[in-house]
Amino acid sequence: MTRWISRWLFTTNHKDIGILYLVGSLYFGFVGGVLAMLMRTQLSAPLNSFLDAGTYNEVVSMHGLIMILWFLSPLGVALANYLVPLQIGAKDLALPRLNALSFWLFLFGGMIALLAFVIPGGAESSGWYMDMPLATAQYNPGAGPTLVFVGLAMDVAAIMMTTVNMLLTIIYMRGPGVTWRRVPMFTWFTAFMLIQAMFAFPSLMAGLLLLVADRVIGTLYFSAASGGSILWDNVFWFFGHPETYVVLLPAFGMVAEIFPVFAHRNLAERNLILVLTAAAVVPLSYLVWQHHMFITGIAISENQAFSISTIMISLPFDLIVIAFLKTLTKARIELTVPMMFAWSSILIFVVGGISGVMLSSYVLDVVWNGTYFVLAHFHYIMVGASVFGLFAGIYFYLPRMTGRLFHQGLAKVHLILSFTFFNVAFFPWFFLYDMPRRVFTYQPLPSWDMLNLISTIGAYVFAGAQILLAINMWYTLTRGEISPPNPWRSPGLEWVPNITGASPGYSQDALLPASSPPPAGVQSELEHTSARPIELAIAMAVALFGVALLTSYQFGWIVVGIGFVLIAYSIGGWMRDDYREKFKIPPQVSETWPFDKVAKERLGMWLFIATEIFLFGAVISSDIYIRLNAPSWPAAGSVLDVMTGGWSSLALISSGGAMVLAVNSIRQGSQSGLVRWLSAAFILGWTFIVFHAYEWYNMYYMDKPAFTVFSGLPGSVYYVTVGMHAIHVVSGLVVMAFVLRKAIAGGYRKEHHTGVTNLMLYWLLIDIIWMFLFPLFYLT
Amino acid sequence: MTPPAVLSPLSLVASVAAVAAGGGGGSVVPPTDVIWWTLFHYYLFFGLAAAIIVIGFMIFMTFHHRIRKNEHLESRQYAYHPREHNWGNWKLIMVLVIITVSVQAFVEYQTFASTSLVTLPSKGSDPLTIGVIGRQWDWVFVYPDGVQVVGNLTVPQDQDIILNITSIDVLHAFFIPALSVAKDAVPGYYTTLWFNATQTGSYLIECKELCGVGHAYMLAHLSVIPSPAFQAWYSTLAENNSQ
Repeated sequence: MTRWISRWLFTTNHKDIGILYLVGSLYFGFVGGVLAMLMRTQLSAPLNSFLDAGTYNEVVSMHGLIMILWFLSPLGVALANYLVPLQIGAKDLALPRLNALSFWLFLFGGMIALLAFVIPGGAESSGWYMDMPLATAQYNPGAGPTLVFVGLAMDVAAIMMTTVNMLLTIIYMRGPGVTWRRVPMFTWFTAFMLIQAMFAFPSLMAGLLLLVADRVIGTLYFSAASGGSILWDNVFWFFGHPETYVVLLPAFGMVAEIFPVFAHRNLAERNLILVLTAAAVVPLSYLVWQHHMFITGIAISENQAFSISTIMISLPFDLIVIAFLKTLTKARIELTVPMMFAWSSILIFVVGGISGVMLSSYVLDVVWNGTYFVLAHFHYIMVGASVFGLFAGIYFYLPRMTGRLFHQGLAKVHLILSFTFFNVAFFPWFFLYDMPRRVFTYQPLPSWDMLNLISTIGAYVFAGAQILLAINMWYTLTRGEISPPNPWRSPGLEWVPNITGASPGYSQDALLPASSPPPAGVQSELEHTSARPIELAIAMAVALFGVALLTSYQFGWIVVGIGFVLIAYSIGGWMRDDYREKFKIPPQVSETWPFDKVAKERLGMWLFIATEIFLFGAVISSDIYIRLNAPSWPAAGSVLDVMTGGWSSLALISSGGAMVLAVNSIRQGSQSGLVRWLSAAFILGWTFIVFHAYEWYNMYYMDKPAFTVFSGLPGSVYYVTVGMHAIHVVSGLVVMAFVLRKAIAGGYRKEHHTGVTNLMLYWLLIDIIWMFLFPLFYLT
Repeated sequence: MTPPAVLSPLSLVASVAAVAAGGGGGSVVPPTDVIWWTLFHYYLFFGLAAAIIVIGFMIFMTFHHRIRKNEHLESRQYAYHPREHNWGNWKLIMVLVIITVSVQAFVEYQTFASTSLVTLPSKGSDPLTIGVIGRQWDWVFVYPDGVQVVGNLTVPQDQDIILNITSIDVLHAFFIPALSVAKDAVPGYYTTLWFNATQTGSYLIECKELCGVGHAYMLAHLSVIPSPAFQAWYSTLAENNSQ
């Protein structure tokens, strides 16, 4: 039992975590499916009273959030976690403990979001894209919705960390001989997905931070009559549209792996697919978000621009689909279950894609926006293309994960039922183009009644069929036939360990049956477990649960306090482990062009900084948007004291300078110089914080009238943005204390001072952000 | 705003259905409907053609090249040599790109040509402007003389109507399916839409943006009545209001 606990709860092995993600995301898929069944039951007949309106709104909102952010995105991450290191011959992900932390944040984030159903206020009920101002405390009160939003923030944080981690792995950890040209398709598509996620998720994170500030502190970002709802639309959809490709691309990667194996030929136009995805899909996906806002009253010219960019993004997809189809020509096709799931994914994607092109017309969208036609379109993409593609991947790699073969008959029944009744469930929605989405019931109308009933029947069978997948997975694991090493005779590197038993350098297989134990000694140096990730994730869940309680209850502070103690304990433990070098992974040599001049940790830092820039970018843009739309704004110098701000800015910038000199000292080998300048940077950093505290105290308690977070839009915007920056400064100072301690103990040398350099990068980022904030708030 | 001489069959079906549902008179299809359905048929035609060609090709290829049950697969017919991946048949690719881009440009052009659905009619048409206020959970219509009516929008037949739409609480979306027009009701802003109801009768107005527990019942009715009848109704409305 203890072995089991340490194996699954403390693991940092990428395969184990991949399995955990797989089980976790399928669990959330099950929950989302149950919610869908509740909705379809309610909608099976007009004026039904199975669910009341309030419950239905909670169910519809949570169904969307859970399915997209806790089922589909993590399912892609699950397969990527398991397969990417295998495909590129890496020993593990670049930062294994961070990987474990991501999983636990995802899991506990989802758990506290589900908990919202049973606490006062209920779950979030403003749709999966959280319409503003409907999602603010005024219209959606209580601790429940806040709990969903903080849970979602945990999930988003998890995905942002995974993004940095996996990109670093793909860039830095490729084994000998795995050049960029030889990187397999699934890894490529995962990399594209990660690049999308890296720039999209910070925008959602920023939106959620502002939303939680609105709900808990009482700021006014999204309840402002001056455009709060349009602001949210922009912030959310800048994330929301790339997110659909985040969900889709891993599925396409799976199709690209599976088609060649069962068509017995090379993937056609491999380079074309890669170039199109990298050069067209990824960048264009950031330029289409306003097509979700065609009827919000944005200017016609914006409608037209976004209509063109939307139809443009269909071109690369057209060609990618054609390339996949070309793989089916001059082929000998084995109609196996994984192949047919991948095949269904593409077929359904064609229907979903064509309806997407239709929706790109801002004139046609007038009618379809907000109706079942849009739902049909994106269920064809999300459920059809993505889920079928990822399920193809699950079947394809089940023998690799378990060492056993799945039950053929059961899988075929699953395939046929899924494909047929998916279409029965969702195709009728195209004809419900005049039925608004998210209505909990509808008036009797002959055309609607029949279509809804058909859809409900289809949905029941489709959902029921998914249980076969769970049964089959359990069957495979417990009594499936022992699989040959490479049952599909795939040429992929990820199957190699099964062929040779296990080659040195590969970590232990997650679920291999006892009959084929990995050779002794292989995994010993890589057997690394750590309890810190799960500790930290639980601590954060507790703290954020407290934050959510603060929406309605004062005693939330106690929970927040407990959470912070736990966070401090686990971060302290994490640092102690590092300090004692308790958790160590052997370094890996690989060909890393074009990044061979950049150290691995440094590159990770740069990726982290990129996400931070997008986070602050979204917040600062929101501030400017609110300001431009506000009826009035205090003049420069009338509220905020320019002198105090100026002195504090000087302290922060000097601190940055001291940090640069600290790095300079250690580069020249001077440990005493390092300690001296680090101390200076540390003291100056705290000076900045003290100035802030003094300033805030004055504005709250001395100024008449007080300038507080509640005193209107200028206060909201100022305190939230500057507060976010201050939290970053304090976190930096905490890390700096750790670095300083290590420096005093002589832990950095001329040749080895990555920790100091990375801290400098972070510290300069903080400085630069402040150089935007200071003029924005104090000088204009 | 004159409808084209030849209307596609589906739009006629739609208009007939609309008339049947409303049970009213008038035979001219509303101009907004004409614009929307005409545009839809361009997209539908190319969409269906693409779907049939692509899916047909896919099914044919798969079953044509499938390995039969009793067929023994001799050996692997491919080997994995990443370096062998080349740029394939670029001429074919260019042809496909040109065809796809042409179709896309054509339908996009048709969308641009249909922009009059979402812009306001020219000044010469002497429109009647009515304010619409969305609130949880009904629609309030404000006539030019300031009279407010809840839940029922009465307009004259054959006249351009402009609606100035806003919301006093959360996002709503004002949708008249029978006339193919819709616009969001955004708090703090005014959005506009226009239509010209050419057939008398009663039509459903829906809210199609989630706005809280009353969302499903946030319905209103559009009553289209002949112009003289509207004048009479409007004057009694004003009288009732002044009393």
